[in-house]
Amino acid sequence: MSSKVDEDLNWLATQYVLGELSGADRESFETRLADDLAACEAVMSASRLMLTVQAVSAPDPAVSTPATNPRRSARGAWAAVAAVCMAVVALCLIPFSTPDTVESVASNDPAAQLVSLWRTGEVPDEDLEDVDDSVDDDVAVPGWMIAAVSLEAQAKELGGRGPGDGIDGASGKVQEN
Amino acid sequence: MESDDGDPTNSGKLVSPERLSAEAVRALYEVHGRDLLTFLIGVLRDPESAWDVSQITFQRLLEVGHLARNETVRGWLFKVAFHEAMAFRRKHSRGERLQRAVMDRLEEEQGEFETAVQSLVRKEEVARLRDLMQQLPAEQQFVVRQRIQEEKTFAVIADELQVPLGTVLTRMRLAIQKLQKWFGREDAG
Repeated sequence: MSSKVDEDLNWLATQYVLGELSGADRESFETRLADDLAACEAVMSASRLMLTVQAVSAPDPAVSTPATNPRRSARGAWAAVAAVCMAVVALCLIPFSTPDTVESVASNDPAAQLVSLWRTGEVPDEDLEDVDDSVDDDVAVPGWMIAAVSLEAQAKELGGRGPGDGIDGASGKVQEN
Repeated sequence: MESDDGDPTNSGKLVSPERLSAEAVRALYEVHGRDLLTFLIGVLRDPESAWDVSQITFQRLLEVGHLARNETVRGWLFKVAFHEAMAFRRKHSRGERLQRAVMDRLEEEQGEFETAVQSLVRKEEVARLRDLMQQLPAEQQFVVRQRIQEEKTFAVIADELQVPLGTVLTRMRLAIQKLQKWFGREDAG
């Protein structure tokens, strides 16, 4: 379609699809549509172009391949985000939540011992001296961890309950540093 | 057009002593259904109503399509679809409710409706059109986006741009001409 007549028809069809024709022009064009396949094809073509231009501005999930529900896609995206978040959280917690891991790490890493201490409130007697010695050397313990252990120990002391002297000893040692 | 568009009847005419089979109607739906639904959306400007009318149209094809004479399949379908669309619009403009049977069918076919409407706009076509729009002059792009995407009237756009209405209409017309030419040509290719 490239003639002036075709271009006029396409423009008329575009205006019709956009609802821009006045009442009389609209009626006149609809009379034509009732019996003019070329006019129907022009409306189809204009409608298709409008739908596609509208989709250009839509976010990707709204432009779907057949049989894809945008709402379902959105839910899927949120589920994926949630799954990633849960995986990250799980990865962060694994070293601290598995008893075997806590024991093995605690025996080698002073920072991990401190974390274990804070979480469980208990440190095996045989490890206590190691903790004291190594913390003196080269452990960079975050300030929030020191404060947390210290406050927890003080709270337990004041409350007259707690797992025992080991905690106080450990926290006291850290506080000195 | 009908001779090379995959029309199962090949002759472009529905000449048959008996009703068309469901398979024949299904085959015609595969060939013309998408274009017919797009046309009806243009007429009714409501995908759900357009879907309903397209279903009625193919129902009519099943019932009386074989009686059509000297008509191309595509022409017959568009004519019936437009007639049904006007009847649908009149019915609703009088505030009459849809018949219960039609409503029931719509509910039953909701999934098929969603799929059909979504299939009208294909991902690759959107990507292609996005590229084509980038090639338009900025002032034409702006009018197209404001009118079609933002759904502002031409008068509002002209007012915001502080240009005559005729200028906005000319920009839109030139843009549509180019897009249809590019889009149609690449689609045919």
